[in-house]
Amino acid sequence: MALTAQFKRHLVQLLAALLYNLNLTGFTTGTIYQGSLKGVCVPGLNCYSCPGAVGACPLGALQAALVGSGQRLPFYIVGTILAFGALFGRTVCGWLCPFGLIQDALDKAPLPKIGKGAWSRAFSWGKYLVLAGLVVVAPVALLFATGVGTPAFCAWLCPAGTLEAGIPLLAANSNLRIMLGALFNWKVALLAALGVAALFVYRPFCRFLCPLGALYSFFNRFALVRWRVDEGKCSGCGTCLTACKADVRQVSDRECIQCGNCAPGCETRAIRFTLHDMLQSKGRLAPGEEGAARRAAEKDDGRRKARP
Amino acid sequence: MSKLKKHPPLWLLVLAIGILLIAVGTAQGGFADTLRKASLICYECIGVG
Repeated sequence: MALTAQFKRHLVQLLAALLYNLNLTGFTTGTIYQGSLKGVCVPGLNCYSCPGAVGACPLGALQAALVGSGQRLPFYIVGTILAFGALFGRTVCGWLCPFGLIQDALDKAPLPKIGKGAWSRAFSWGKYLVLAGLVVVAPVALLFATGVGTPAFCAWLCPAGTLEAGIPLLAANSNLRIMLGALFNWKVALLAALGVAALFVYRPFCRFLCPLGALYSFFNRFALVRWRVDEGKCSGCGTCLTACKADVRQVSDRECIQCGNCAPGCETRAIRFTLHDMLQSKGRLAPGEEGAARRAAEKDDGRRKARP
Repeated sequence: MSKLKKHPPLWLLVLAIGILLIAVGTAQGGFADTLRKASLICYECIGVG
């Protein structure tokens, strides 16, 4: 039996979540991994205070670098995000993020779904506000105002931290439980609200709030690994946009999480995964060559039309 | 075709800049800073800070 493309994607998501969290004993001891791998960031949103985490969260590390490295610019973490962005763009969101996997699982619940629309397109700008406000401005502003930098996104919003780190650590570590307060209640309420929302709306956190997705969206159109349209084959029927659950207006635009839900419905087989092409064939288009293919096709069409 | 081959794709340029920044950042102590932060439980992250 052949595995469907979506099953393969979920398998990759599961493997990524496992690889990010190989320190399984941490879940029973209520402690976190402290080896040198922790200095390396994983591409997806995975809290470094998760008992299983063997790598750092790029957003947590970015905020920590912004408020904690004195006069130095955070070259290491910015370089890491650039490298992941150039290689994967938002393929990270669709394939390599544990919190995305959880939302995908919740979306499978057989409940009525609220589809995309103008409202969701408007809400999708929220993640850029969160990126600017909570990841960059608030931590730096608090550092200047109070002398203490706070990772504002992690502290006040990040549901992955609550789910992957807060709940397991507090469950296994009684010393931490005595420190519980209003902040934890707020974060659990937020996590619950997002969980309920994910039952009815496709990936609400990724689409509307995730600043890591916002960062990777800047790379989405040109990343090495992504879905691309062979414009020479595209008939412009729009079936891909109808199949998409996110607010995508064009394959691989800023909202595309590279899940590939659009590809099977394409009658002309114009939507292809660059990684698949790289692995399977040398004869197909290289990333970035689709424009040339379209121009060549148009030129060819022109020649044919000009003939009597 | 030859025109396309003359210019490296954008992802490769960005990747090269990223790797360069990682190297500079590591030399400045960025890796050590990340390791130090990630090796301790972040109380804010888990909601008890």
